[in-house]
Amino acid sequence: MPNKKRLAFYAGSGCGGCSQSLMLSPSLATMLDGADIAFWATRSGDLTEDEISQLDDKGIDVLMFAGPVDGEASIATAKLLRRKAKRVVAYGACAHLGGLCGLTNVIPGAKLRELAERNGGFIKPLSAVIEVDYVLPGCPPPQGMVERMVKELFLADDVPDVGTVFASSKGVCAQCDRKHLNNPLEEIRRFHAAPPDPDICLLDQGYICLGPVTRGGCGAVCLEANRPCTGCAGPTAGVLDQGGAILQSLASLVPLSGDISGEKEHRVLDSIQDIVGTAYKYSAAASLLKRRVNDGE
Amino acid sequence: MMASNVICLLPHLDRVELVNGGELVASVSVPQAREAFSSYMRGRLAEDVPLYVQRIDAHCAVSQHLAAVRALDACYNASPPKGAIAIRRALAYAGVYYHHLEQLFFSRSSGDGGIAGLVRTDDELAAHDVLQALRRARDVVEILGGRGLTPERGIPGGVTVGIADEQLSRARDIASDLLGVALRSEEGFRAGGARWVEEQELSVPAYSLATVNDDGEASLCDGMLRIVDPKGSEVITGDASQVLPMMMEWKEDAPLRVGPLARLNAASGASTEQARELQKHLFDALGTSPIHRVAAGNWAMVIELVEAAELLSSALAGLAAGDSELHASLDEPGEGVGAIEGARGTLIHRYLLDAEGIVQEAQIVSPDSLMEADVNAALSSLIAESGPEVTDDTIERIVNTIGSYQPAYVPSAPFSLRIVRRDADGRVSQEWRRT
Repeated sequence: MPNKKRLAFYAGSGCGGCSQSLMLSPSLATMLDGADIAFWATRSGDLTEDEISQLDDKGIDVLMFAGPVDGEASIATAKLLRRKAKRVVAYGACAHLGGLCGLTNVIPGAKLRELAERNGGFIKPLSAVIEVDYVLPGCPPPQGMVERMVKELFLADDVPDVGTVFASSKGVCAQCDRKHLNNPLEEIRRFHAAPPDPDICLLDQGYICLGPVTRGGCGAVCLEANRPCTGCAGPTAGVLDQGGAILQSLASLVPLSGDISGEKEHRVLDSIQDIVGTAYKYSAAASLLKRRVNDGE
Repeated sequence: MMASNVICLLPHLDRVELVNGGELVASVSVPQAREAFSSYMRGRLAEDVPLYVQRIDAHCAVSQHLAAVRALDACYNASPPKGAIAIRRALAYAGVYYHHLEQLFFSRSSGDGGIAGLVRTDDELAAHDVLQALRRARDVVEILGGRGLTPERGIPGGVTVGIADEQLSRARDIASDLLGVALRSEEGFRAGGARWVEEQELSVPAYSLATVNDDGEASLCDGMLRIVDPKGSEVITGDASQVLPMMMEWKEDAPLRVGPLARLNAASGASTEQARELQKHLFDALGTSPIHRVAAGNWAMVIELVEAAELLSSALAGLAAGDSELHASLDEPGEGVGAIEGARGTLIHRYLLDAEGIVQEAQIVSPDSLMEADVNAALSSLIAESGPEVTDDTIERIVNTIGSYQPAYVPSAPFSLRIVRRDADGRVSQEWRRT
């Protein structure tokens, strides 16, 4: 067992899923045996800025930061926490990409805008305001990825390289057992009318699945439940914009119409409904879209 | 502070306000967030709704998922096949079990002794066993819902896919173990927490809202909604769309209560054999139903842990692997209301869809909002009883009182809290802090 590490968990806001995912780790007890806990704040109210200020600079070996950041107050807290920690993990989709909350940046809605402005800012991924050393993706992070983080970060003698993402560098498709038929994309289907065939690739059936552009390591559990991947683990390595990448993939699957008008391609791609909620469900705040600048309501 | 992340609606209660030396004016209220939630959901695909809403509160993700799915059934006028209903029910029971176990052992702060504060633990029921049970309950949620903390299987009209045979067998094995942990927890509670509950005299007469089955017994999933008055007389029984208007314009002389204590009061009894037997201990100690002692909600929750495990075992026994009739045809989309008896209390979702199945309006009536007046009434009584001085004991009682309602806004324990007293001009005159 390496020297005891001083660790901390901080969830600025959010649904509580990230803290539960860590609590449910089978390696939790081992991790805690070998660590001192600086604090375990599952919501922002558990820890004041004064209390954080009193901690030694770089006194925390590893800080796991969950939840998105938005206004000045949460950015200031994130910066303060960064000063106190040698290493910071962006824990879960909200810290990694802004998460579902990030959709508020780009969907129309005066109420949303009011709320964001009152709080002093739009949703941002943690890496937009502080330097992030590691990423644990997922909403909430799936058990396999949590285990990998715990083992590599807390139980191993060597610390992982800065920049490690505790997920597969391959896409979700690598873990998906569905049969791939290479069908062209003739129409976009939605599965509320009838569930898809559970054995065939969803894209082959015309359902939008973000598996090809999303980091794997989750075991493709959503696909097993006959749901498409919605992209919670963020883009695969090297992909800048997850939503843009899936739209590009879809476009490449549409058969050419044979004329210069591109009528068929347009018909198929224009039929995608809620394109932002589909392609950027978790990653809008980290995307090239940034945020909506006028309301459009 | 309410962040702009309206999908994660957990309002962070960090302050209880007192005015004029005792009159409580507010605990928590987030009307802007509720309006913003509808704004957020507008334009989303109907079939994605259950994925969004379960991220509102991961402690009750199953309840949120299923309430959305039931509302969407109504939007499409769909009657899910029996096989789909059976999977959803089993999932609901697993969700209640997970929630209650987590609340009792990891999120509660009342009383003394034991890792839960309420359940006396010994070598037979160590923290390790409880964590193991929590993980296994999560595994059952994953088997039934397709994903551990945030289920995926529910869609309007049914479920996406059936359960494989070996997975079903595994879930049945786990369920039997979960019942054992529940029974040991209940025993541990009677050895420790029951006396603590008996000592807590704070009592708030309230109307009780719960879901009941055809026999009038408490349901931990679906059924008819029933409201009884503080004396236990029925006020209304109906489906969600019939009862919702009364709830939304509450004009009665006492607050409305939801959750385990309300279920105890509104129903004729627990729906399973062992839980019914265990309720006798509670009634022997605290008197007959209706019971308005706030702390009794903790006891009722422990009994429901057993009930949820019994229901889960029974529901899993009735599930058939490989059932192919799991989805009903859908009508044209429209408006729909759906309710689920969630772990924290009755949870109602309403959606209005356009002709393409895109959300136009969304509304969630959560146990937190329903219990707000009840929590405030309890805190006001407590402050009135405690006198003008706020002592450490008062603060602990405030924390325990709020905790007895298991609201979503205090997911962690022990939770920090500021108590602020304002003078007649609204200025903060005194402040206390509990961390």
